[in-house]
This record gives sequence, structure tokens and C-alpha cells, in this order.
Amino acid sequence: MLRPMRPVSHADEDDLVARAQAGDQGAFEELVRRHADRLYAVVTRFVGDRQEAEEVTQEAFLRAWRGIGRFQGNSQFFTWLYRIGINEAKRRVGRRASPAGSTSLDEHPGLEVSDLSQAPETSADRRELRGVLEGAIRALGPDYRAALILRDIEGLSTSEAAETLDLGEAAFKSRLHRARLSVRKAVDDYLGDER
Amino acid sequence: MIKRLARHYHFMREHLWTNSHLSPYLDQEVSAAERIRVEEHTHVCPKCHRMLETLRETLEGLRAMGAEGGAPSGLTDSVMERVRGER
Ligand SMILES: [Zn+2]
Repeated sequence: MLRPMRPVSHADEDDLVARAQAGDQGAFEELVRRHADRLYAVVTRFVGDRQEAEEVTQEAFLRAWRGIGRFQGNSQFFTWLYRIGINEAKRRVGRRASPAGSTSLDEHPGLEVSDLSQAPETSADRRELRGVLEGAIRALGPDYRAALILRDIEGLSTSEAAETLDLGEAAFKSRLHRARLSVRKAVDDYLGDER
Repeated sequence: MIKRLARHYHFMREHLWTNSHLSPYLDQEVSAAERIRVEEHTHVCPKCHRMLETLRETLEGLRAMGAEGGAPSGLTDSVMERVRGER
């Protein structure tokens, strides 16, 4: 199982980080192993494509390795890592955006609704709601999408998610609130047709 | 007339306040008094009631999405291959 969603903060994680900072590749490998699933999940939600998510995740880890000397240790390692991953994902998404700066995410190759909806036990209704949620997430601007993914999908606390995005808690909450309202609207429209 | 206006004013004030507190309410980031205030208004306001219920369903749906996934099996090895190639 992948739960807990957040990388468990092992007592020896500080030690692994310190060793990696000293150039120990084995220690870094252990950090990659611990955080690969969740970082990949965050990035996949963000870019909406598994192949691209794998590339972004690899690139993020490589950047983390190169920059690990700059990691201060006054934030948690995984929030630092997620920040690198999200910045890399934003770069990719920005690069493939149309030159006219169109914000319509529908134009971009995204996840097919079925792509992330393979859980066999989900009912047709759940799958349909899932599709609505995925469409609504994709339609959010990158900053709003990142806030929603970290807090509401990955289950980070407000302070962890705010730290990842380098925001104060109040600013983060207001961003999250707007993202939620936008996704809720899509759900409401969907349920409105049903009920 | 004045009474009706006052009632309307009170309702609208509660409506706006509740609207901006639904998100913290569901995150359990409100005080006990604020929780009661949200519940009292959503009880009498169909709009806020629906807002609250759909927001709740939205958050539950999003949370369920977090349970799935897992990195491709070779990802760590690929990363480490690139790390080793750095120097
Ligand atoms: Zn209301």
C-alpha cells in the first residue's frame, strides 16, 4: 500500500540527507526510493501524462542531487523535493503551452479520463465523478492546481503545502479556496444533471 | 417592514460569512462557535446547504484520488544511473 500519503518522516532521514550532501550516492538512492512514489503521483496529477511525469520526476531528482548542498534543513526534505518537482512540472507545462498564451488546458494533451481511473472496484458513478474532477483540475491555472494537488489529493497539511509552494499560510489558503470553488462548481454542474 | 429588512440584512450577512467559511469548516479549522454559526445558516439556506454538500463530495473525491498510483518500477534505477553519470 502507498499509504501513508506523506513520506513518513523517518528518524534517520536527516542522516541520509547529511550523507547525500557529503556525496554519498547510496544515501541519496535511499531518499529517491522513499519519495519516488509520492513525487511521481504529484507530478502526474500536475502534468496529466504518465510518460511526461516520469521524465519530470527523474529530472527533479537529478536537480535535487545537484542542489542538495543548498538544502538548509529548516524545511522538511520532502517539501523541498516537491517544490523542485512542481517547478520542473510548471516549466514543462509552460513550454508546451501555445505561443499565444492560451490558458485553455483542454488544448493540451492531458490524461484520458480512463487513464487514471483504472481502479477496478470503482462504480461507473465514481468513475464518472473522477472524470469530472480530473477535467476540473486540468482546467485550473498551474498555481491553483499545485495547491489543490498538495493539500486535497496528497493530503499535506496546510503548513506543509504552503511551505512547498513558498507561500504564507494565509496566501496559500486563499489560493486553495479558489481552486476548490472552481472544482466544486464542476462537480455541482455534474450532479445538477444527475439529481 | 423594518423587522423584515432587519431579518433580511441578518440573513445576507450570515450568508456571506458562511460562504467564506465553508472551506475552513470542512478542514475543521474553525472554532466551536464558528462551527455552530456555519451549521445554523446552512440549515436554513438551501444555497449554502448545497454548496457545503457539493464541496464535501468534491473533497472526498479528491482525497480518494490520492490513494492510487506508484512510480514506474525502474524509476529509481534510472535516476541513479543519471546521478552516477554526473561525475
Ligand atoms: Zn446562505
